[in-house]
Amino acid sequence: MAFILIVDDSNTMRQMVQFTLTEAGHEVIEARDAAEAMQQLQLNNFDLVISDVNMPGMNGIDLVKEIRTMPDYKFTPVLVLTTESEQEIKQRGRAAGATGWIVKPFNPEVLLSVLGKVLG
Amino acid sequence: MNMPILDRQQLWIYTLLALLPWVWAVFFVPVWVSGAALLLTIAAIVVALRLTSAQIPELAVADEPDVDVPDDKNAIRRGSRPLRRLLSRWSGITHSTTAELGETQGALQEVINESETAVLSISKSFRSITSRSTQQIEYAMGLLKTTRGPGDVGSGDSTESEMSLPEYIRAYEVLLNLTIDRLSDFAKDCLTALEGAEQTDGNAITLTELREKLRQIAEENHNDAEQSRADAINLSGGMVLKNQQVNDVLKHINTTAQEIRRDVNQLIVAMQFQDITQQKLERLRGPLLTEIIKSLGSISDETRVLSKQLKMGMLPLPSAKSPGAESAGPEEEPAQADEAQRRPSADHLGSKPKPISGGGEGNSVELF
Repeated sequence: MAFILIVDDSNTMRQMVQFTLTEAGHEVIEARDAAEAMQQLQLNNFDLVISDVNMPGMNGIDLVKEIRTMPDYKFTPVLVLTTESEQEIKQRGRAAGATGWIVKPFNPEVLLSVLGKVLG
Repeated sequence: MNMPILDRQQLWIYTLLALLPWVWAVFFVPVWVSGAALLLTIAAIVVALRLTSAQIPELAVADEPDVDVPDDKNAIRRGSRPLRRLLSRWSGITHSTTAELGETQGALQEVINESETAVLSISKSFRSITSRSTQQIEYAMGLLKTTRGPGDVGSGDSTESEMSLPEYIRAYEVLLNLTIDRLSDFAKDCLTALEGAEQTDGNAITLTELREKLRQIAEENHNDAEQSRADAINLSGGMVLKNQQVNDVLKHINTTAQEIRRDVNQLIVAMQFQDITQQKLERLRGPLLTEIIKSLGSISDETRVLSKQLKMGMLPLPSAKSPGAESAGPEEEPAQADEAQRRPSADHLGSKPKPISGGGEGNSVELF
């Protein structure tokens, strides 16, 4: 079981991810934007972060950069879950420090499989 | 007041024609009369020149040799009537289109809200389905606990009553206890017979008598042992059958659970698809519709002003040689370019939503 933070401005998407992960036995906390995510990251010690890219305020790529500056999360897996699938933006995510890239709509089984891989 | 407009050349010709009657009269009238008439004529010419010079700057534009200015202006006015009508119509159309687009925007917002509500409703529904499925499984398990299988134990009769697995186990326990009791009774009987033989030592009970007594005891217990064996076989058969039934039900429950999971996964993907579509609509609503409404509103205002100016004759007269041809091109092109610039491109709306079936890990997932 892992402690996971979901960051997405879409309420529906957060619910979908949350449902998939809690059904698989993980504990999940939701954040609707990068600012809320940063607060949660400081309050808790997550095993994994899943973030969208297009969000109001700070975008997901910048959030990944911010996460990587936090000593506690230097090596924590950060997955990007977004509709964006262009190679250029994927490269930006990779350069920012993202662990993986999942394109929406995600298949729950695939998401859990990826989680299994990145969490070891 | 519209006076007939004359140019200077015509004025001089008319002046000479007016003077001609005086040419023959000059010899018959006194000199001072001729002089006065000449002075009056000159005064009339000066007044006429003043009047015409006031009109000349207005006609400077049309002061070209091959242009008949009054005719052109009237012709342009007559020609501009359809243009005015067209502009008026265009103004009406753009105004109504703007209003309609405004309504469409409102309706679109409503659709988005409804879609959001629907998504949440679906979410609740499938949670409810999952919950009910779980309840059904629990109910099925409860039923399995109380389900009665074929066979009977202990009572000796062969009714068709059914028992649950725990009941079978309890029956087995009862049977074992019964068998133990019977064995114990058998042993006690044997011991009693031996003790009896020892106590009747003096009376010389024979070995044959003792054997006979023991044989009777054994025969009595044999029937009980047979009954116990039959009960044990019956119980074992019932338990095997019950176990088979339980396995079948568990298999069915497992299959159903897998089907439910598959359905839920599809539902999750479908709901994401709807959410993505909703986000696309949000992006469409802002930049596209707002810009269209703004552009059409602006065009409507411009057209209305232009139409008003045309009606009041406030627009500068076009060149007579190529009316409209020179002005239309350069004005329209920037307008079109501006319109194209205002209109948000399809790329701005983001890529199209992926198909619902996009579940393969192939290109939807990339680990760095």
